[in-house]
Amino acid sequence: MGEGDLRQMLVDAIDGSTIVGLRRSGLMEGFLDGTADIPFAALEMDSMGVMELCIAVEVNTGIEVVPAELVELGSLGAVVATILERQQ
Amino acid sequence: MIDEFFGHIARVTSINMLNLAIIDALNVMTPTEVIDMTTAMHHEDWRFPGKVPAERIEEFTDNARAIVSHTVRAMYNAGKPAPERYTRFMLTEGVRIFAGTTEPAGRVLIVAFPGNGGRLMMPLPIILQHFSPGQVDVVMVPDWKKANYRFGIPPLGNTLEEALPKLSKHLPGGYARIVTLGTSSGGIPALLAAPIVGADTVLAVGAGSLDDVRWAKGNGRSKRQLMEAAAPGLAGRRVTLAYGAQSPEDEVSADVLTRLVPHAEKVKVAFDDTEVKHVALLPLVNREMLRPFFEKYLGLH
Repeated sequence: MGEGDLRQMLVDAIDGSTIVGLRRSGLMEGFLDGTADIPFAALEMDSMGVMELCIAVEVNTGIEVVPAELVELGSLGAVVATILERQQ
Repeated sequence: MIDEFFGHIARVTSINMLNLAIIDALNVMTPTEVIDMTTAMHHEDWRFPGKVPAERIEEFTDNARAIVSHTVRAMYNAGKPAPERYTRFMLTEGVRIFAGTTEPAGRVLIVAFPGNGGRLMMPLPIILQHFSPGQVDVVMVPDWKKANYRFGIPPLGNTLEEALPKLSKHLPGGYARIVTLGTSSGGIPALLAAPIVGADTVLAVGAGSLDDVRWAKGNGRSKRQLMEAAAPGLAGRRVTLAYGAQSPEDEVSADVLTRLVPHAEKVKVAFDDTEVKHVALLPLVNREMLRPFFEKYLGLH
C-alpha cells in the first residue's frame, strides 16, 4: 500500500471508529495530501480508539502495531511512516 | 457465549485481533457473562489458549485479563453487590434485546442507538449494570456498518426513514413506557426514532452534527432534513441533549438541535477536576453518577 492509500485508509478507519477528533481537528485535508500531520492529542482518542486504530492497521495492511507502540508514535504521520518502513 | 468467546480467541494470533474479539464480545455480553468470563480468565491456571509463540503467551494472557478487569471495575461503580441478570435475545438480525425475567407490564423499554463502536460510550455490561432488570429492558440498535447510520440500519433498511418504522414493528409490546437513548452518532437516530416507536423520553449524549459532511455520501435524506421532518413529532416528549463541557463541537450541535426542538433541555456534563469531552458518560461512571444520571434523564424512578 502506498503512502497516499495508507493516509486514506487511516482516515476511513477513524471515520468508522469511536474517534471523533479527526474532522474537528481541521487537519484532515492536509493529512490526506501529505502536507500536514495530525498529533494524537488532536484526535481525542481514548484507549478504545487506540485499539480500533491498531486493529484497522493490521486488518488493512497485515502489519501489527500494538496499542502501547502506537501511543508512542504520537501522530498519524508517524503511523504512516512506521507502516511504510515495515512494508519494505 | 463464554465457550464461544474462548473458542474464538483460541484462533487469534495477534494482540490486535485478540482486542477485536474482546471488544466485540463486550458489545453483546451481559454483566453475568462478563463476571463468568473474568472469573475463568483470572483462575491461576488460565493462560491465553491461542497458538502464539510460547514467549508471547504471558503478554496475550495479561492483555486479555486487563481489558475485562477494566470493564468489571467499572461495573462495580454501579454500587451493586452482584451482576445484574439480563438475558440476551435476538429480536431481528443485528438487533438484540437484553431482558429481565419479568413481564413487560409496568416496566420500561429502552431503545438504544450506540455510536460507531457499537457501544454507548462504554462496554455494554457496564451500561446494563447501571440499570435494573426488574425495571428496564434494553434493545441495542447498532449500525453494524459503522457509518454513523447514514446507510440506515442494515438489514432493516438502507436509510433511517426506511429502517426505523421496521424496527418499531420488531419491538416487543406491553411496556408501561418506551424511551430512546443515543450516544455520539446514535444521538440523532434516538431523536428520530422517538415518535416512531412511541417513546415519551429521549436522551441524546454527544449527538453528532446535523451537517456531518459524511452524510453527503449516504443514502436517503440528510440528517438535517430528517430532523426537520421529525421535530414536530417530538412535541410533548421529554428531550435531553447532554454533552461534555470541554466538547464545544457537541455544545454547538446541541444548540443547533434546540433550534429545531425548542423544548429540549441542554445538559452540560462538567467537573472541576476533569475535562469532559465527547465521551461524556464515562466520567460519570467513576464518580458513581451514571445511575442517577440515567434515572433523572430517562425518568427511571
